[in-house]
Formats: sequence, C-alpha cells, structure tokens
Amino acid sequence: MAGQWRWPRGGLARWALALGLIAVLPASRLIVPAAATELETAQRREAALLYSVHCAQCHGAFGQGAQVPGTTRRAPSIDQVPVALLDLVLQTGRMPPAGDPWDSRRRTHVLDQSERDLLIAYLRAEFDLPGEIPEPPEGNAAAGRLVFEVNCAACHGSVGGGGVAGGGAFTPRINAYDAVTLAEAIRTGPFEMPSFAAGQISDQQIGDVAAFLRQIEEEQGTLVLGLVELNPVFASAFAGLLTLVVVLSLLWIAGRPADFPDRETTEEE
Amino acid sequence: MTPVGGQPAGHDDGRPRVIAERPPAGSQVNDALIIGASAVAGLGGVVFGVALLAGAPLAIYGGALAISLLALAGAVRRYFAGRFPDVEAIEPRAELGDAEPAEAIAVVEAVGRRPLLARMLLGAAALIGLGLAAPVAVLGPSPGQALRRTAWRRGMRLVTTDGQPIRPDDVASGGVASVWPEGEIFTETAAVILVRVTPGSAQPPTVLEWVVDDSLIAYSKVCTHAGCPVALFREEDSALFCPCHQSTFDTTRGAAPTFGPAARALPQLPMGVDADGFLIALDDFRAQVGPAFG
Amino acid sequence: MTPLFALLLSTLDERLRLRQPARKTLNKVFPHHWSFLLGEVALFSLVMLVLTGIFLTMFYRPSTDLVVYTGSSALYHGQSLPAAFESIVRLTYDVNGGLLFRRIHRGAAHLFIASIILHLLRVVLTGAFRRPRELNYHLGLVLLLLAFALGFTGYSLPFDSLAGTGIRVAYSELLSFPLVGDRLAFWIFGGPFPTGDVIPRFFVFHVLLLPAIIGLLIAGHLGIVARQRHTQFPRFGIDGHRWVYGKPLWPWQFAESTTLVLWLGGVLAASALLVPWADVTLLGPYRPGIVGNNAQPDWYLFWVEGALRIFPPLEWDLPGVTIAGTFVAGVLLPGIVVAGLAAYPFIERKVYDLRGDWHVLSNPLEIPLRAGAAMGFFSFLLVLSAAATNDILSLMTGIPVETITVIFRVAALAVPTALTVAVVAYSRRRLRARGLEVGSSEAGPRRAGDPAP
Repeated sequence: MAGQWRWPRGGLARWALALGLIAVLPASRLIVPAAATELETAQRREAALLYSVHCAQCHGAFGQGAQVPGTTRRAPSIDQVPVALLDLVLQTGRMPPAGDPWDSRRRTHVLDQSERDLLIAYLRAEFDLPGEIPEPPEGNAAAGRLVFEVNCAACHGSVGGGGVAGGGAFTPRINAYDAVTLAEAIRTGPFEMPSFAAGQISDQQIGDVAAFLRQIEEEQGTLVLGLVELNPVFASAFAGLLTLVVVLSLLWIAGRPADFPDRETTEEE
Repeated sequence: MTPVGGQPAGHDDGRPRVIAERPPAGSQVNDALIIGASAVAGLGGVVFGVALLAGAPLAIYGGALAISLLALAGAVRRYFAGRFPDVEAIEPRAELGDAEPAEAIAVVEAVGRRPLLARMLLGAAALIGLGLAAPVAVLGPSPGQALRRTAWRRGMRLVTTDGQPIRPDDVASGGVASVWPEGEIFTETAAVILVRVTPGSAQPPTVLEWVVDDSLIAYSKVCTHAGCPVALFREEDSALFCPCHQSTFDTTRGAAPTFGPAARALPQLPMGVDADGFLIALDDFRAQVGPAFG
Repeated sequence: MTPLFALLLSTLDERLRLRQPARKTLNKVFPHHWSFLLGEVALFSLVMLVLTGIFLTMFYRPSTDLVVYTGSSALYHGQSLPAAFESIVRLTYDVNGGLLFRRIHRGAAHLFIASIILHLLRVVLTGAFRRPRELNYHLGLVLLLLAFALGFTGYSLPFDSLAGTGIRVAYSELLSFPLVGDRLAFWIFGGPFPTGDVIPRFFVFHVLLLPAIIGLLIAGHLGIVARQRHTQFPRFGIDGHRWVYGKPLWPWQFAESTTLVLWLGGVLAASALLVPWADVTLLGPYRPGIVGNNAQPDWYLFWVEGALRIFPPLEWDLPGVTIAGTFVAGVLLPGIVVAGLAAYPFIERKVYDLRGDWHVLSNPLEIPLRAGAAMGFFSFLLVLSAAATNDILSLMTGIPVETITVIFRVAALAVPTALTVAVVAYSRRRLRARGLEVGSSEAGPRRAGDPAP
C-alpha cells in the first residue's frame, strides 16, 4: 500500500536516532527542571528518552510538529493539546504507532502501562498541557443506547465495531473502551473525529454510553465460535459455508451407502 | 451390481423395468448401527423437549435437537441400505400427447359461430377485472406535494433528539449534531445534520447568509442517492460520508458530492438565530430533499 | 407390515381405490444424481421455514407503535421500542426456544435462496431449460424472485436498524421509477416513508401472500416435472431421449429424501448453535434519520447493492421526467439480468437451430455460447456482489474505500468480458481437439450436446 510508513528497521538505527536526539536535548526546555513536576530526575530522564525514541521523530524535539519521515504529511504540534487527548492516544495505543501512523484500524501498545503513565505525566508537566482527564459517572446501559445511536453509531457502527470513514480513514472499534477513554475521545475529537461539547453529550450520557458498550462487550457469544452478532458480509461467508456443507451432504446422501459386513461372515466366505 | 437386462429393444409396454439390482447390505453391524443411532435420536428428542421446557441454555436443547435429527437421518439411511435392494430401472419416455388414448366421446362444442357473444362475455369480464384493480390506488394517498416539502417552516427551532433547542455554542469546534424541527422529531425527511467547519472556510455554492458564526451549517441528512442518513462527519476535511453507499459531500462547498453514487448536493437548510439565541430555520429547504423521483 | 397398518391400508383402498395408482407412483423411475437434489434442498428449507415461522408468528407483533419492554434483557428493560422489535427482543431473551427457532429460520432462509440459485446454475449449465421445459424454467425464475422478496421482507420484519435502513433504500428504489415512482412507493408503503403501514404490510406479504404464491407455484413446478419427467445425464448405451433411467421412487428416492430432510434439520440446528444467524437485538431498533456504519442487505441482494455502490453519480433531468442512477443500477440492471436469464433458452435454440424436444443434459463446454454466457453472466453478478462489500474490504486491507470502488467499476466490466472470451475460446478449442464441429448442429438436431458416440 502506498504511503505505508514504518519505523526505521533494526535496533541499531533506532537507537542511533534516539541518541542523536538526546544529544540535542540539553539545549531544549524539555530538560530544564520544571517546578510543577513531581517527577524525579531519573524518571524525567527515562521519560525524555521515551519521548525522543517514540515521539520526537514526527512531532519534533519540542513537540512543535514536523513532517513525518518518508511521507509528505505533517504530524501536528503536540505542545498545546489537551491532556485528555494525549492520555487518549497514548493509553489506547493509537500513538506511538506500530506501523502507518494514519491507519487507525489496529491498536498496538508499543509502550507498556508504566511507560505510558510516565510519558503522560512528563509531557503534561513539561508542556504545561491544558485541561484535566475527565471522570464520567457510572451510567445506565439502556439510556446509553439512544445516545450512542444518535451520536456514535453512524461512524462506529451500531455495536461499536468500527468501520470505514472514506478518504482512507477508519473509525476504530470502541466497545472495549472504558468511560474515561470514551469521554476523552468525545470531548477532544481526535484525528478525523468530531468533538462533542457538554451541551450535546453530557458527562452522565458519556457514562451511559460506556455502560451500554460494556453491556455489549459482555454479551455471550455462540458455542465454540464465540460469535456475537454478524455483519451481513460475514453472515454471507457463513451462509456460503452452510451451503457448502449441505452440498457435500448431497454427495454423501446420493452416493452409495457403505457396506458394513459382519466380520465372521466375511471370513467364512 | 448384477445387470438384469440391457437396452430393451423395439416394443415397450410403457412399464418400468429393472436393469440392475444390488442386494441389500444387511448385516449385524448395520443393525447395531440402526439401533444405536435410533436410540441416540430418540433420547435427543426427549432431552430437547425437557431442556427447552426447563429453560436450559440454548446450547443444550439446540445441541440435542441437532444430534437427534442427524442421528435419525443416519439411521434411516442405514435402514434402507440394509433392508432394500438398490434398483436401477428404465421407463419409456412417452412423447407428451401421443400416449393418451382417444376419448370415446368428443368434447361438446358450440353449435354455429357467433364470435361476438363470446367476445362480449370476455370483454365484460376484462372490464370488471380492470375495475377491481381500483382498490390498488386506495393503498396509498396521492403523493401531491408530500415529497417536495418537509416539516421545516420559518421560525421553527432546531432541536436535538431529546427535544432540546440548541444554541450555536452547543456544537463544539469541529463538531456535528443531528437535529430536527421542533415537534417533528424522527420525521424522516426533515432530518438535519449540523456541522461546524473551520470559520471562514465555507464558500459558494454554500449560501453564506444561512451560515451561523461563519462556521455552523445545516444540511439535509437524507442522502440524495438512496435516502440513507448521511451522518458520518469527517472533521479533518469537513466531509460528510454516507455509510450506506459511500457518497461523500463537501460541507464547505454547499455539500456538493465529491465521491460515490450521489449526483446532487445535500440541500442546505436556511438557518439563523432567534432573539433568545437559539438556532431556527428561516424557511423550508429550497431544493428537493432526498432521492430523485418523477 | 403390522396387521393394524394393513387393515388401515385396505380400508382406505376399498374406499379410494389407491392400490393401483400408488403402485404406479412408487415404481416411477427418477433420474438419479446428487445435483438433482438441490431443488429438494430448497423445498425442505421451505418446510423448515414454515415450521419455525409458525412458531415465530405466535409471538411477532407486526407494528411499529412504541411499546415498553419489560422483559429480562438489561439492554432494553423499561425502554420504549417499536412493537415489532420489542417482540423480537422478547422472543430472543424471554421465550424458551425463541432464539433457536429464529436462528434456524434465518439459516434456512439463507439455504433456501442459496439452493435455488445453485439449482438454477445446474439447470443453466446443463441445459435442462431446453424445450419442452422452458415453461418450468420460467416458473423457477419467478420462484427465485419471489424467494428474494420473501427473504427481503423477512429481513425487514424485526425492524432493527439494519432492517429499517434496508426498507428505506427499497423505498428510494420504488421512488426512482420514472413518472410513476412516487405513486408506486406510496401504494406499497401507504404514504411517505416511514409509515405505520409498512411493517404490517410486509408482514402480510411475508407470512401470507408470498408463501401462498410460492406454495402454488412449487406445486405447479413439481407437477410439470412429474408430467414431463426429469432430465438426465447421458449414459452410454441408453437413448435418454426415449428412456428415463434412474431409481424407482420406492425405496431409494424415498430413502434419500427422508434422510435429506432429517439431515438438513440437524445441520440447521447445529448451525444455529455456532452462528448467530438472526441476532439483531444488539443492533437496536430502527429510528428514522439514524443509521449504523454497518449497512448491508443480506448476501443474495449484494449484486443489486454492489451496483448501487459503484454506479457513477449520474442523474438525468429530462423535461417532465427524472432518470436517477438508482433506477438504472437498482431497477433497470436487475431487470435486464432477469430478462437475459429468461430469454436464454430461446437464444440457444435459435443460435444452434435446435429442433424437437430434449431430455438429455449436456456439458456446457460443448456449447460455447452457453459456456460463455453463463460465465459472463454469473461472474458479473459475483463481481457486483463483491462490490457490495467494498467497505469491509477497505477495513480489512487498509486500501481507501474510494480506490476499491474505482477498482470495482473497472472490474465489473473487465472481469466478465475477459472470462467470457477465455471460456468461449477454451470450449471451442476443446471441441476442435475432439473433432467436433463448433456451434453447428451437424450431428443432427437431437444430438448436439450429447456425448460423442
């Protein structure tokens, strides 16, 4: 596929890049101790390293944004994004990307949980990012269904399975996400997604949507295959399989039945 | 297979005749299979009934039903294989028409020729048939202007699906909202999608007087292709995308179609703000909403 | 035979004189081949549909009026839902066996239509449509179209969000008829979409009108087969045009049919455990103006859906009449497809100057016109069907859906053309290699298509 972009292959190239960036860092304000941060120096060093390895290549050493290597597209500046957006893209594995940064179909966690937490705390402090991480209340699944239908289903599908958005964009599968993640996405509108203010979807309604998606996620699948609900396209594949089984049965049924002679009789003859 | 006879020559009496016969494959093993499979089938039937009544999980009674039917199918097959000879037969193909013996009495025919009378009868029957088709027209009202107008009227507030009127600020930057005319929620042809584009980016053929805050535009949500709700707003390039057939519309250019099978732009709703700061319609749509007809 | 059974038989025979006709029927010879059972699969699927359908009808409520669901599903408890959807939720969560029968019903529906299509394919490829069977061939085509209608109305009845979207598109298709579209749509829907009438009317179509017509036509279809006798594959040493050969109805045809109906029931029940055929409750009820990003019809309408998706954005505003792309892609094109299928028997007869009646099936590779036409025709429908999955293909491959759509626009024309040319060339070469004249009836009108002696 055209535009597919990968990180430099091999550990050596990657580490060379990281070390190069670290060499530049002492000059940057990233390394200047910020009074607001509660992180210890060692943690900050580790976080700065994570940033330089995983983020700086596209977003620049100072989060100012830059052209993505190997493409003509720009990565946005991230020095003023809301904390919620930063938390969203890092915690869901949308960033840093494992492959094409614009391909939102899969989520791969490049960083582990502690690295993500560290990086978020660090960037939040270093860039003095605005906003808070939202804390939506517990909700009601039945009420969340209508909110979801009206506001979310058109892009993410009736059960949150994701889909195409055209123009090479994809809407991710969202039914495994918790209320905090949903709230961050709804409020900040990451990437192609529109954002929704509290006047449109209240905090309570976000909690309701989360309860609805959790309810769907907990739905029991079928025996063995564990299928929950079929898109007509996948249903068509199973209809084909069913038809194939029946056609093979016809060969069997119209064929001559096997003989099961008694052993004794055979030997006597 | 023992051949009993080959191609019969010349004369045929119209009866099937056996050309090959194979003795049944009966054996004790076969009998045991039939007995075993029948027992499984019968037991499965009982389990199905009991489990269903007891409210057991679907997997149990459904599985019992499947197993019992499959086992019985196998048992039936083994029964016939073990008890009946396999016979191949042939039978002459009567040429249609020539095999029937002539009837003793001819069909009674009309005496003399008066074609007009028969035609009158048939003509009358045809006219009655035509008259009886009239109830079809009762099945639906006359379309009239029903498809050319929507529920939107001057001064009507835009409300959300909850019935709340909305102010421009309720739609976030880069936001989208599905709205209805006040009191007409879920009236399909009146569905409107409200999008917030980058301020100043809207250009003709967008009607700029109907754009609120230089960035908030209302379009009909009913696709001009096949009528699906066009509700996917791709914020990065301000495109509306129809999830049914992938028609794409540029909201900064009067929702003109840019890809897919739709040939007409989504009509723009004349929109303004009332004295209380709520969004209102200034009029009905000026263009026809939804798919083409007529 | 137990004495009681014998007594019953003789009692009946004394009154109805059944012994002679019964013996004649039981000895009737049926040509035997596995592919001749495809029609039987369709028939038995219909039996399953009727049996499960009767159960479902006891619970289904054909209405879109809002009612409050009070059953055990947490997703809907206390919610106000369209009555049709509410009854589906109730059937699924609150009626013992409801979900099983719904799934079997839906699975049998897939199998019903799939087996009719395979049956049609068998008839077309082997030339079973030839005189004197054109009438039955056309009856079969009508049955296929009615099966589509039965399937579509059944897909619509739960009134879930997918079903409602499908109904909306069908309504738009009706609207698109030039001049009469709005009237036509209003007659069927009872007014502008969505009316309260559409579900009650679809219910009547689905459980009464269409099954009754289908039942009558099947009786006619089978009656004609019994009258004309079945076609058969050529067999060395027997003149199949003069002799029917195969197996008598009793015992083997009977045994096979009994095995088949039981086996089908078992396979469908087993599939209902593994595949959630009819699970629509998570999709939610249909509400006007709301759609999920997962809208597709069932597979048998993919070819029409695909045509709608890849058709270029065209709409002709002529004086007094509008010709919409939806009409061309969604009405005209399917109409041409069906007309082409219906006309083919006459075309083949004309082109090869065939005379008389035909009872022996032929290999399509011996009739280049048929091989080419069938390949072109069915590959065209397959490409269109694949085009209906463009969004899922895009999601799976990462290729933008626009690119995929453009590829399908080209493929819909190029692939069938290329395959047709290839198959015609291959079958001609094959005939020449065997020393047979291509496309002529030199071997005598009865013999073209028969195996070489």
